[in-house]
Amino acid sequence: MEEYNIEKASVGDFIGIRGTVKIENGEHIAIGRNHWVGQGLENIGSYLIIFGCGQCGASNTWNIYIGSDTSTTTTVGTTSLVSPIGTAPGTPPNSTSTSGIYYSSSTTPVVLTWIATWNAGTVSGTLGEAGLYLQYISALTNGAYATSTTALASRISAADGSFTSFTINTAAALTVTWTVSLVYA
Amino acid sequence: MLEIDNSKYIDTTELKLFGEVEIENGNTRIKGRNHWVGTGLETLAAFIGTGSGTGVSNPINNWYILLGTNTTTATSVTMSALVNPIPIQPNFKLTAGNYYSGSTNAVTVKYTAVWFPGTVSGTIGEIGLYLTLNGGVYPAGNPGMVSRLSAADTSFTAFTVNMSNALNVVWYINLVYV
Repeated sequence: MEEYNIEKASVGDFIGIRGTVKIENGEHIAIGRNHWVGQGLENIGSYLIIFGCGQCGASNTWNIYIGSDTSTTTTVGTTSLVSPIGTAPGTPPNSTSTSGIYYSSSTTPVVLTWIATWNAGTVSGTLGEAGLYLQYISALTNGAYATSTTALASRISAADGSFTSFTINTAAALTVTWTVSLVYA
Repeated sequence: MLEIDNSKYIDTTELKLFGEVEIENGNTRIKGRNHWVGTGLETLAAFIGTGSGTGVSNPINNWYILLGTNTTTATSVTMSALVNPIPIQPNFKLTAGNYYSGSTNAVTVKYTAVWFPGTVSGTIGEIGLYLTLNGGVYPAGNPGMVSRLSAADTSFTAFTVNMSNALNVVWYINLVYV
């Protein structure tokens, strides 16, 4: 019997999935890296073995919510914002949009962007956390899927040290831009 | 299969996707790490960034693993098919997946392909995982190569098929925290 043959890793062995969040509110701009939670992990993994689902894109239904918590760090078991602003899961943004720069024959990485804007005066208080909610495929069994629900996939929080919490300027719009890059690592 | 233990320290700021391939043919046992090509990156991104309709097919609507004979061409990002494929699809296919929650958070998805004895012959120097592709520059619904294992990448040593035995390929894709 031949011995197992595992060579060392090199470029192309891995795909890294990274997220960066920019929060803009008047003159205030905060930028930080997101933290993926277990639901986000399972969601992406589930996609790899689903079939026959016409609306299984993670951005089929999605949203971004914000919250006031400044003391609770993100864990893989985090399933929602700790203290959402507004009724849970939070006050929805007034407008949303997405964009994507996909792979072409000569360029990588892939960059995906979700943008949420709350009009001036819509939300108030301390902003200490924000969450990206994506359509959730929870069944990691062969071919099974369940859609139409969204769940927290990733969170950015002051408690994680990703940005410094601040008081929302209600005279200005608040915009959260969530950018996810898929890169070779 | 790879044992994953990230319970001591988990950096949740980044997810990492990687694949391992196990090949079994008689006394030949090989295990190597795959190389992702651009279409693999794209189809994953299309799932995350899109919603419904023709841009969102599902990876195993039509999928297979193909074998090839090439031993000299390294995998590149722009590669879209095996260099010298043996145009014989496996006789048997199976998929499965697991989500490990709790202290060890990881997802493992497994694609299994089996060629019965005598079905394929010659030198095996490359293997490709073909999944249904998503949108982007590729039409939805067409299977394309998302990842490749090749002798030219030194991922494994090419071997001659023992036609008296079945040839099994198990392709693991693992999604873990960095």
